[in-house]
Amino acid sequence: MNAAPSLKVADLNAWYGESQALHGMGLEVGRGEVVTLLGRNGAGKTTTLRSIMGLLRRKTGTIRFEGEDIAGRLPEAIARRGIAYCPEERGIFASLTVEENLLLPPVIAEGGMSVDDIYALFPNIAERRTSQGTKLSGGEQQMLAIARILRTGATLLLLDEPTEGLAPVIVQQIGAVIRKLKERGFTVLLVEQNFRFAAKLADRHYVVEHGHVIDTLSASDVAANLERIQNYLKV
Amino acid sequence: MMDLIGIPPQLLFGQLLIGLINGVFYAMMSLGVAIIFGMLRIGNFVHGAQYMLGAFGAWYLMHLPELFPGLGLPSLGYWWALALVPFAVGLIGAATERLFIRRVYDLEHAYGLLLTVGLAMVIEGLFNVTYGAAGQQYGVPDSLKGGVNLGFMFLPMYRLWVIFAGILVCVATWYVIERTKLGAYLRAATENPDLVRAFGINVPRMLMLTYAFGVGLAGLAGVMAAPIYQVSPQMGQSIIITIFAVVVIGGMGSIFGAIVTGLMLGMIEGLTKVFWPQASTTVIFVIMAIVLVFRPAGLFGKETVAAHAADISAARPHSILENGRLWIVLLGAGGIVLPFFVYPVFGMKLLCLALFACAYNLIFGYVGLLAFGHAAFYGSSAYIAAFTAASWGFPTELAILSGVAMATLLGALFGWLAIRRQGLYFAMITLALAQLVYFYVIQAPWTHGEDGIQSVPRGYLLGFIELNEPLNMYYFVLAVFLGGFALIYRIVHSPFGQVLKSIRENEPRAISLGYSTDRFKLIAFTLSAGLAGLAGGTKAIVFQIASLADVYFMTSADALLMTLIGGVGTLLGPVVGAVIVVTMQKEFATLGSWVIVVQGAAFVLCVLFLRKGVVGTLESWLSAREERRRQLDAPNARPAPSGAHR
Repeated sequence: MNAAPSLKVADLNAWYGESQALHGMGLEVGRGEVVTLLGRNGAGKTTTLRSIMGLLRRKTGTIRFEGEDIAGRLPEAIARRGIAYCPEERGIFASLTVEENLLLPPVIAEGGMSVDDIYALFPNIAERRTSQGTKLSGGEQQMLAIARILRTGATLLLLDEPTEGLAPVIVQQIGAVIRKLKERGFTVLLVEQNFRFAAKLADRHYVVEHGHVIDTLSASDVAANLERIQNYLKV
Repeated sequence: MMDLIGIPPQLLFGQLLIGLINGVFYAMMSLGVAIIFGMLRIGNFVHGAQYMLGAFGAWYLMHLPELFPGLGLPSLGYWWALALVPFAVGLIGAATERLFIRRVYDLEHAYGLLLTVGLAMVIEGLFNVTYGAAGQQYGVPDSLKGGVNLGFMFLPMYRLWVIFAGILVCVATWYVIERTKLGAYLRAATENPDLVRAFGINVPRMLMLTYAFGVGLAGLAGVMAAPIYQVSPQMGQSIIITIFAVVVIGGMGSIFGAIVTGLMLGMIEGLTKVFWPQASTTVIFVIMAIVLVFRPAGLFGKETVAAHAADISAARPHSILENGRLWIVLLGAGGIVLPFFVYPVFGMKLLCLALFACAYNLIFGYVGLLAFGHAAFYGSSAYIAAFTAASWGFPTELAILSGVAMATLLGALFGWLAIRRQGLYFAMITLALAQLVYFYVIQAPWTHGEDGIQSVPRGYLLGFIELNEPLNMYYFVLAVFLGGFALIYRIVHSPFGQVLKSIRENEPRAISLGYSTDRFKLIAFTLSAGLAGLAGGTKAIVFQIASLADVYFMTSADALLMTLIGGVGTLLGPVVGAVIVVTMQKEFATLGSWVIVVQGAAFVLCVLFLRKGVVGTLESWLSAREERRRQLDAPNARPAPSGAHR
């Protein structure tokens, strides 16, 4: 890895009630990198993101962000240090308009994208700014969910399966957006099951199984190891 | 001026105006309740007490020199009160949230309800101890004295000001919540608090401020009410249940609905006073029932997906504590020797309330429906039994059975109306319907108002066993109790009871298995009401009186308290709870007016420290012991995760 580490997770164990979901999870994301977590349903990918964000409280291990241990912090404190989270279910608020949804997350640091830049990146959303948030199509909701965490000045984006359930043409658009985000210097930790999508974007891939990392691949390894990866992900 | 339909316009417009003013207070109060419910999912029963605090706050500021003679403080008038008191009441609200309310967010609604009822009792009880039932006068401020002559009537300036200021406050609140950034945070946090936290917003602090704001609104309403109504410890108590009904009619979670409904219902109440004065106290509850039939979500509410109720039962099916065949024998044996250790009257009170709590547990513990109006069934049965025995000379058994029939009918009707909604909504609806019965009993001629029906003859059992003999009466009550207890045990362990428990644990799943869960809930509710009626009717014969206390909402709260203290959804919990509560009430009887305060404190302490109840705690101790034994037998068992920090 050539970039300075932005996020470093080590020895992470996490529980939902009595059942343990993460068993010694560990990963690193360098500044400006796009890294994916690949794996089957229930492997612990979403749990990893929720633990980093502080939404899962019952956990042990270290999570260092920009050199500081954030494992014991509350979600609001973690967000204010520069991590933004886009959940799998998108979390668009029905009682808010599109624009209110977009402007909801408070700006926590300088350097976020301006609203004009965001509208330029997501023209569909600009057109529908006064609609109710949940009246958007699934793809538009996903765009909005990503768009709203770009304003805040957060440097690390946690994206949970942004392509889930979307049409191929929308998936391509989201791929283009993530590429632009990388150009702008955002660090991205992406959870994906769609390997073909992830392979074109990411610098490195972690394969997750049973709550820990079982394999690590860099972008250049992918072509030579396609069969191995397919084996990890097939049901 | 011409008479309208035989009504002089002065009367009509006068009552409409009074109605509008009441409506302004309803709107301001239900706005606060709606905001707190929407954001915190708490049915804020303290709201009435906080409104009363506002009025007393204004009165205190006015009387500062007399209250603290040595300090040379000035007497601060109305405008000072208007500026300072809502803020102070809001601060008290913030402290209340921090100390108490925050602890019950993640718990079943019943705990929040009992906690806020307890807090209201403590606050109102303390003021009652200090000031008694008499109201304090608070004058209209000089700047708002006088009035406007509208030709057909005289409109006092102060009332004009209340209408103007109250509506302004409501509209401003609506604007802040629906149209501003702050409001957007609130609405978003209502939908998905975790995600809003993950955006960097301190949601717990926001919840505290929201609660403080809602409470501050109640304080403001209290200040504005001080010159119109008397400043008395009871002023909040009489308004809070009406407010809950207004919120139900307006539609839960609808800010706009709360405001419009509040104003509208105040006016309708005023009109009713003109055309049919006797009905004016009940009209709001009748409207609520009608609205529920046609628009279960309320006039302005959106249909919401029912939150999955938490399973709060503490019972384990194969525990020795759930073995009904064993316990009915033990309880029977205990019951037979009991009168040799305590007064039979005390024993009978205990048995009646234990049966009442068991009946309540059937619906709350086994079906998971938070009913909060069982006083209606207990009380109406008591009144019918007392009336038929005293006035119509019914034999004892028939009088009690008439009471049971009445309670069962009411139960079927109220159940039919209420099971359309779940959770806290269900609680508010049953409460409001019970309040309808309460107001009816106050006004109907045959119930004798405050006096109740007294000197009810105990009569003869089967025509020849003299029930005036204390032990005869006692053993009759014991038999009734054991019969009811056995019936409940039988119901719960029948296939029907299994379906009830499946509804409690996962209603959508029960529906998907093909059960018409609404029908099961209605039958269980009706059975529970009938059994509560059995307890109430028996009580009326034992104590030879049916009184307003039997139909008052505190009786419903007692049923909930007994069930929670004992252990929800356990076989023995309600009985144990009844023993504790009845003993407590007997010990506290010497405290005079402090009894409300102490009882309220017991509610609060029970919610904070004894959530599983006595039987529930015992049960988890037994199950932990069993678990330890199992682990000793199987030393290779996987160890529980340790060292996890929260």
